[in-house]
Amino acid sequence: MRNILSISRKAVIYFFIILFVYAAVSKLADFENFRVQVAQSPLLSAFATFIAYTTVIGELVIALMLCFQKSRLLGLYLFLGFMTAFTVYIFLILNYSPFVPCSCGGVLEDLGWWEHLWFNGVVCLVTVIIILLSNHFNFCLDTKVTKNQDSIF
Amino acid sequence: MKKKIFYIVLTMVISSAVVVGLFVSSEHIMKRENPFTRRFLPHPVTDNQGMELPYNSYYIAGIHNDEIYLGNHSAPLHGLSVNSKSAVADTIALKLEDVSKYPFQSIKWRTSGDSILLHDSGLGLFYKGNISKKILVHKTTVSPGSYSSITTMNNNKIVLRAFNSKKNNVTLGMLNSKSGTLNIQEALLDEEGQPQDLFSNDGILLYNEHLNKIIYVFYYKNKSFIFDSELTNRQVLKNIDTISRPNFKIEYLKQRQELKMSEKPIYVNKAAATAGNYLFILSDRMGKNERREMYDQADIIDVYDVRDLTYSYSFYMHHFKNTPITEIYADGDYLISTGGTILNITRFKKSLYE
Repeated sequence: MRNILSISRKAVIYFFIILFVYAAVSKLADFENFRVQVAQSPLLSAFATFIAYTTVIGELVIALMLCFQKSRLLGLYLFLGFMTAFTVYIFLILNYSPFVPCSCGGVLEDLGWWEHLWFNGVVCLVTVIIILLSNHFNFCLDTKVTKNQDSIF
Repeated sequence: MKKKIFYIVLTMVISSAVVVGLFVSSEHIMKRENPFTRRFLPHPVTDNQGMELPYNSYYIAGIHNDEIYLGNHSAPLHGLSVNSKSAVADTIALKLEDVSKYPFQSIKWRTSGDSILLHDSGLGLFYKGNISKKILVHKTTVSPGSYSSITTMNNNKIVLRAFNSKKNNVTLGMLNSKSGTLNIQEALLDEEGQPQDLFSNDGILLYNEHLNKIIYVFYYKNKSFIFDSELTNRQVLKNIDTISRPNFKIEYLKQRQELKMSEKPIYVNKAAATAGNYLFILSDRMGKNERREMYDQADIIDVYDVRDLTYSYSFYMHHFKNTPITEIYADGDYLISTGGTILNITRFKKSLYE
């Protein structure tokens, strides 16, 4: 049981890393285009440049943090923060925006906005579960770090 | 465990708050203090119905019952009426009851409802008639060469953009075509700390029937003035563009006795039109975070809400036969534009009047 949990936890974290790296790289590959798209997004137009850089750099840093045991828990919190922000953003677009922009591309190009909202919600939920579980099971292989886990944050 | 839940909730609350905060302030900035970031709405108008005109000298005189009326600069009493649905064009000829009486110089005409107003700014003559009859009757005269453009209101009222070449300034005046009284109000277009000469204050005069407002859009600075129907209560609508004063200086060349612009002027507002609650401005100035290549393929229309003086949105008008737009006109749900020998006909999908 323990084994299955630990393996699936690892698999999920790898998935998160791939998700963010891919999201960041696909934005970087056509950064000018991405910046234009953010500017056209109805909610954040005024801060387009700032948000474009923050998103890409943030995604890369968080993906990197998830790779290392020492920074993994903090990385997960930040990951959760980013995913919550994206989810709230989509929610605002669907409910309060004067118009719904064309889909933004990247990993989930083919998803509609509502499907995107569901996907994000599920990812957030999984992240929360993983953070909660990390208290009871060995999150890292190194026991020393495990003992001091709370102090890492 | 408790600590974790606390951190999780804290993380989620903070990031939600950041996004909501960004959203609220972004909306505020976009509408009120826009730093030249356009927001392009996908397809607010129907597909362009473009057509080619026989000459490049046509201007838009007005729209009535889905017929678009075009005047012709080089044949002043001839025009075209284009059916907006079938795009079938018919020639029209206007008749002046006393055409041989005056040496006409610069005739222009426009429609308003089913009436036609024709004027010659060089001679200061005003004629009126009906679209169906097309015979125009002399109504009133003002001093020759005293104004440069007009817009018509209801109740026989005509707003003039009056200029005084001796004082080198431009202002607005109200002419009653029935009684012939002309009331010119001084310094209506002047602004403190800004150049107040004829060239710097040049612009486009419009009348919005729905809101009963007179609108003056400056060519060379990021402002429009909104007046009520008596030319009082001036309000300032600030555009999203960043040029707040004309980029040129006017110099007087003593030897040649000429006024000259110190630099090639930059048009902030190239053309303008108004209908419903909105003001439409044609701009070819690039904003932040835009695609440069679009400027070769399309013109940009910026839309402002005249009621609360805010920026609403922008949209692209793709060139028909690679021809950029130079003039726009709006009425009902129509947005008509011309450029070269091209006439573009589009309609707004959402009502402009709600």
